[in-house]
Amino acid sequence: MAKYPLELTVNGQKHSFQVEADLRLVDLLREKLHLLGTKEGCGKGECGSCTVLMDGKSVTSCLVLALQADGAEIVTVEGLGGESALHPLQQAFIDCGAVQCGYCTPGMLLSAKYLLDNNPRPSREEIRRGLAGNICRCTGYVKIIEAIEAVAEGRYGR
Amino acid sequence: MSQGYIGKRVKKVDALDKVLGKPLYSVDLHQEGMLYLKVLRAPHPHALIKRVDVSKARALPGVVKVITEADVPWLKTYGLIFKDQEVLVKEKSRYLGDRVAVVAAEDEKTARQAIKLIEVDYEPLEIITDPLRAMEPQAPKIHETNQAAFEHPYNTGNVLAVDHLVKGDVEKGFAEADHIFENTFRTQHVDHVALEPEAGMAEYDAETDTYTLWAPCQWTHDIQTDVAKVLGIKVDQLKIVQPEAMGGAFGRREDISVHIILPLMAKLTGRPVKWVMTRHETMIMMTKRTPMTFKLKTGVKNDGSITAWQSEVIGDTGAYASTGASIVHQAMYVSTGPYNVANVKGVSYTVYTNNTYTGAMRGFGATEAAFAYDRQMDCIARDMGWDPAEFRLKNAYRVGSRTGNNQLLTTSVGTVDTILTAREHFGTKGTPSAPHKKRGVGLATIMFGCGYGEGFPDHSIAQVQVTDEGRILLRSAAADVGQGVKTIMVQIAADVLHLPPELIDLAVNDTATTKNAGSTSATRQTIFSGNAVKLAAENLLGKIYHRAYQELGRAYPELSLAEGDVILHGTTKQMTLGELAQIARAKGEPLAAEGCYFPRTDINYENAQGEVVYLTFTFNTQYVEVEVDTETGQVDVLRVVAAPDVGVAINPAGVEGQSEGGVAMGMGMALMEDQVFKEGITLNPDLATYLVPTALDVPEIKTVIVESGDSCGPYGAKGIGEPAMIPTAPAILNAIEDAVGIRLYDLPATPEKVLAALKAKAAEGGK
Repeated sequence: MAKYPLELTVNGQKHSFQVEADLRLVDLLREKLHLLGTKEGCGKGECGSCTVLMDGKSVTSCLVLALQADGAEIVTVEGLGGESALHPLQQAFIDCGAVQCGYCTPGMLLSAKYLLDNNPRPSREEIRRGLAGNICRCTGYVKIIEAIEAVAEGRYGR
Repeated sequence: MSQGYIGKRVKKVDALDKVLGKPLYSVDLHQEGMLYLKVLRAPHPHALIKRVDVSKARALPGVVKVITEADVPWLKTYGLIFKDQEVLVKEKSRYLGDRVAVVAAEDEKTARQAIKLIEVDYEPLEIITDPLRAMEPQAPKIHETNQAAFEHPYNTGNVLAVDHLVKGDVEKGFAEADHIFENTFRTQHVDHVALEPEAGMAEYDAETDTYTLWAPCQWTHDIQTDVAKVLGIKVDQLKIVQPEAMGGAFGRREDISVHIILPLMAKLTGRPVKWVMTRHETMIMMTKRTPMTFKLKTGVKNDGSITAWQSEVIGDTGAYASTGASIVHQAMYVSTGPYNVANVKGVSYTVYTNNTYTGAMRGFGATEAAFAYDRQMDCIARDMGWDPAEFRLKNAYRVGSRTGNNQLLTTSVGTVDTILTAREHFGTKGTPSAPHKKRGVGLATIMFGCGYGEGFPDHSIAQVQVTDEGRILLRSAAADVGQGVKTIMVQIAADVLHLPPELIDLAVNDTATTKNAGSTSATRQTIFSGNAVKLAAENLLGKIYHRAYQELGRAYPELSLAEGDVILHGTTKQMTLGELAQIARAKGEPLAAEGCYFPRTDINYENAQGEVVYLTFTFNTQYVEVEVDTETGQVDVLRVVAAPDVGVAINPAGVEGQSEGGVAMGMGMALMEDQVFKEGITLNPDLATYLVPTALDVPEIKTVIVESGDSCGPYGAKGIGEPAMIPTAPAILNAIEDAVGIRLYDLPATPEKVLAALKAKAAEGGK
């Protein structure tokens, strides 16, 4: 299959590739950049596990072709914050007990970041709507919502 | 008494790595030169396999190996209890997920293409979807070519198991009753929807003839023995490594999924192999919650006391046994709930069909049973004019009660407390948001026996040691599926050893270096591995004190441990734990200890009566408020109050997390989740058509922990994983009845069913 040039920025770093037309963004991130934090749960955009930010918008990276991300800026969980400088959402997820199996966590964090970037003071209902595309089978969402609320209320220095 | 780490809202030990996206799940594993597997599954749920031609697949460039049953006729059958499942089917398919061929290729895309090139001729047989049809003597036998399925003494063809319970004299009990209530309740196929699809990786070392398998397991040691038997090898030739994290389990990772094919193909190809299933594939092939029909007959006196209870349970195990027979008989055993009944008679049938096979899912029969018994209790209360809570309080177990299995409850019986606590925190219902919407309140009270019980040799072994660096290395095979047993074990070790949790490291979890911890199921790990760690840590503490006494010349109470130092009071003498460990090791008596918790249970399977059938019981009452839209049939759950009696909460934040997640899963079962089969074909094998609750569906959940203490678990703790979800579905359907007066008997209560019942009720009222 023919390959096409692709340039994009992932977590602040520029990369260029030659990729096949049917390569998905999730595969590019996981297989070519070894950013394994982004998880695939359904491959059809139904579970939200593979959510990343593309030019500031949340996308399910299993439904985005890598070539569609040409020129884009991508943020994955690895770009959210490091161990010594956690993003407020990461710290709040730990403190509120919002993490169980952790498979949905990277996608949840990025959906939450997208929400707060665009609506810094969401109501509970707005938080629920912001997470509606991300399935969590472990937590019942309660502590995830509490964590996001804690960040929105400024308890983590935002 | 606790030293300070018990009962604290401790942060999960693995949460930091998880928010960074660091842990490697099975889907993340990789080795240089590895091949990718794909499986051809039978498109017919019941068909003879007349011809298989893999020649075109084998000829495809990039394909390394294609196998069918003919290539590996020496493989044994497998299964969690009954070994009735073939790795690759030989003569016929029994359900939609049966494996016909396996392809190993250089990349996933090639493997997928190769699967499409395999030609198979099938001769369709009658597809049996209804257990009642399966039970008819003239029905085709689903397992007639499979001898393993016929080893069970009760087997009469498609009936895998028949089980009985007899307590007292049920006929005498009915004769004493003033009222008899008979109802039939049904539960559905539910998928676990663990977010991580089934996946794993394996390699084979020809020099040592050994295999390594990386794949999520709720019970590594049990899967190790099953896989070894199938492959015809010794258990120590197969090492299973639990991946660093597992994307949920809920029972489905008790069963074999990728665990045989991966090591088999690693050997046959001589290369590492990886296999990741699609969501579609996992939903078609993996176990479901066992659908059951409960025929209940209850005798009640005018004063509200229950004199007799008869249960007939028919469970559809699907094409294979897995744990189906145990799930169905447990459902029958507990079908009187946490309510006093002197005379009980039960029978259960576990039946093969061509539906997708079923297995363990959160509750293991107790969830299905609770839907039936708590709906039954609610119907009786309403029909007799009792307040539903008062009717439960009148009959609830207390210390001195005897369960359906005739087990005397001597301690940690929080039934009444859970009802009173949940009621108190619930308050009263609110006003509907529109005239065509009606509000209702419902409750349900359940019990759950922790541990396998029934005389099964249930145990957990844990090991702890002090390293030369003065840290504690904790070895346990207990699977952390996200529920937090790692954190619980660290809390307990820290508590016993008077050390900060940060000093405790968890060793890699593999079958070569850990000992059997039993499964993460039956709500048993806090009790079993918690106790094992506590015993191990106590033994280690004794060794530390003894070695310190020998080196420092003073004994307790002049010695103590603090923050990793051994301190001799009244002097300046002290040494670090690391120094002490080095001395101990040099003298041939390392600071290492083991703990094993191995309690005994019993049952007489003739009548299901015993003295200690289950070790201890978790109780849980939930109150829910719903709003029913009488125009659309839509049911919104507005709020839930849960009051689980967990004995003692080792980590209250963890208990809340389980409770909230359990409520969400129970909501799904109550209102939306239904894996639909038509002629054995799964109609909704994806998350767009199989709906699970999202953040928009799940309401505010308040968990008020009840601590009745005094259980056999560490510090008096009991488990919470399964009982967290059990009351939710009956409570919701009870609330719907409270709101609009319709009596629903089947799950889930979809808008269509609610609307139909509302229309039927209106038509009846109009007569």
